[in-house]
Amino acid sequence: MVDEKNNQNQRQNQRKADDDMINLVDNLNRSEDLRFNRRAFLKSAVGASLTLGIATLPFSIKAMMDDREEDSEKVEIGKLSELPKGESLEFHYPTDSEPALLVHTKNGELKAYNNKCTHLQCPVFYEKKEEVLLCPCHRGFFNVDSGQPMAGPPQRELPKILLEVKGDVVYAVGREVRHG
Amino acid sequence: MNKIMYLEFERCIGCRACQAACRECGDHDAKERNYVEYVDFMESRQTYPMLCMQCKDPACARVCPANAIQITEEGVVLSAMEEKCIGCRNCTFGCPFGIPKFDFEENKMYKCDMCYDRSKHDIAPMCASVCPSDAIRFIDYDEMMQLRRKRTQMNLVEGKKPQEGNKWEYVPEFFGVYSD
Repeated sequence: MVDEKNNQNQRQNQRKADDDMINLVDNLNRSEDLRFNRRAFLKSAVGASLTLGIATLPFSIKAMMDDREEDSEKVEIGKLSELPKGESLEFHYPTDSEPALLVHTKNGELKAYNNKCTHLQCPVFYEKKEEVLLCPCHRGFFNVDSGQPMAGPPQRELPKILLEVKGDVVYAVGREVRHG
Repeated sequence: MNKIMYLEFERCIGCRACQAACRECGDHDAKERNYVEYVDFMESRQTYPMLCMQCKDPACARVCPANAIQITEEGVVLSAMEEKCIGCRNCTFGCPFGIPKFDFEENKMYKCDMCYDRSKHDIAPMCASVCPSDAIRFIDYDEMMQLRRKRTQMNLVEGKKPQEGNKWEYVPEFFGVYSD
């Protein structure tokens, strides 16, 4: 009873209904004006930006970890004698899911790149006549010597695979995803 | 705030102590924010204190384009916030009691706010604390209801009959800001 009275007194001049047509002074509440002031806005803005920044932290860490040197393992690709000039050979490096292309250019150089096109991941092949790497899906051209895109939609270079020749055997010893 | 302002116009003796007290109050820079007016100047010398009614749906706050007049949790309608008041004088035109006044030197509105800094701690507002005839009282809810019941009893003793227009003078629970 006393509590009820007190409640009545506490809210003596406040509406008791939540009807829209009665709440005509909702925008005039002092407490809300003190709560939603400029400082509160700045607080929430700073808090939101901090939250978003911290939320992207795992991705940054992941990217930094991906940037580290890959553990280069020696993988045998094939025999040099079986790969005349102007021919190419497909292999997988560093994992089975990453196809790559070993090219023996007309100049006698050995080049190897992951041949997943950097545009939309079509397989890039070696075009003997033009001495380019060609992506057939959207006519993307890559330079054989550097792996850099020359024409078409791709904007990034193909990952370069470092080679080592011992005797007659070609080994893949590492990879540079970003080079040049 | 557990107390309320209780005005009895018929007790007013026109001494204007409430006005003087209001002028004395800090921050009011010698301007009163309540007024003593004549009920009917031609008929009698009876005056009444005109304080802010602390409306539940305050016209002054509703017409304020800057939301400068705010309502506290206790339902007290405050004077215009200095930071927000743009000096448009809408409140002075909107209020049916003529409580908000405009300070042309400061270019700001000022009005009675029930001495919120005092009354929120259950200290009587300046005018109530000086009124010699108890025309303005700052009393508990229970005491107020008691006074109103006494008034109804006196009405019945005096042989007045309740009518549709003034039935709350006979059964106070029928009417008022205390029951929706």
